[in-house]
Amino acid sequence: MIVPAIGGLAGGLSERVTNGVTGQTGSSPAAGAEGVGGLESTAGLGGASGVGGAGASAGTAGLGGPGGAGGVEGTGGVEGGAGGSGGGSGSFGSELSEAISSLEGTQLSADSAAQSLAAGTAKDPESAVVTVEDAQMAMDMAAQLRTKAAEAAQSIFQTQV
Amino acid sequence: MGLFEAIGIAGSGLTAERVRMDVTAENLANADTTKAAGGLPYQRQEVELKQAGEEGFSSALSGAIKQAESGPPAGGVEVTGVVSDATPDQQVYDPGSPEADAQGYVKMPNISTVTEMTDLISESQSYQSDVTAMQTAKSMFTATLGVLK
Repeated sequence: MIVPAIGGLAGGLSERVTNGVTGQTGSSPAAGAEGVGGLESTAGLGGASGVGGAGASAGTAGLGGPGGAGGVEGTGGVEGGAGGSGGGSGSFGSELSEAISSLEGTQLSADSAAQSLAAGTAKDPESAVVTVEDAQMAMDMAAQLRTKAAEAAQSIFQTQV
Repeated sequence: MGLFEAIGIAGSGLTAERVRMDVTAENLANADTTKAAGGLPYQRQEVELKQAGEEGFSSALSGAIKQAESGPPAGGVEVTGVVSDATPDQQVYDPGSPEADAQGYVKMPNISTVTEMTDLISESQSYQSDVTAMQTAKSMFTATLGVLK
């Protein structure tokens, strides 16, 4: 069940990276919503494959998805089918979505802190700095976890059959 | 705060030291102010600091339980208030001053510039050490993340 994490995390990450590049603080809430939405759709896919119990249908869904992230989700479906546990919204999924939403929270508060700092309305610059640092470190950790999960997926893809 | 407790704690220290710095600057600026609130000489202000955390029996109990489970509670420092220094005003003999009393003494604020300057040094050093603690905590965390690379 590690692999579905990649799709959701990658979706969230790419949104954030785009955000960082454009520097648009205003567009952040919408981006965050999309990131969480991506995660939910991944969980839904896992559930479907678990009920179907067939990797093929999940694979098709993966191909239908847009781009490489869709392919990764398809693999997640295969794993779910092999596990046979069925419930796509298992404890790992909820843990992950919780982690993502807390990441989202830190990013949003960092956004507002930076904005108030720039606007000169910040009463307490230190806590703004702490908030931004917090967000950056949470982001770093999520990025590292994503990289690690992607590596694991790669090593699965390279299995000789 | 969760994962990054140390950074938040160091941040609370930064805030506290900044407030102390504000108050010291106020004291220095008013070192010669003979007319403050109520027409009396300015009184030296001091910052009261307190370890952050809840008060009361139930929070003390849950704090003790938490401490038994996972080490001491950590919340940093907070400023509880700014209080006046009760040291008596200085009496300076200056019969020419319009504010001199019948004996020729003028009441001046109870501020010693030397004390304020040493406070300033202490605040600056404490601020620096909080920043260092914050940076060290961050580099520790970054080093841990480096393991994943």
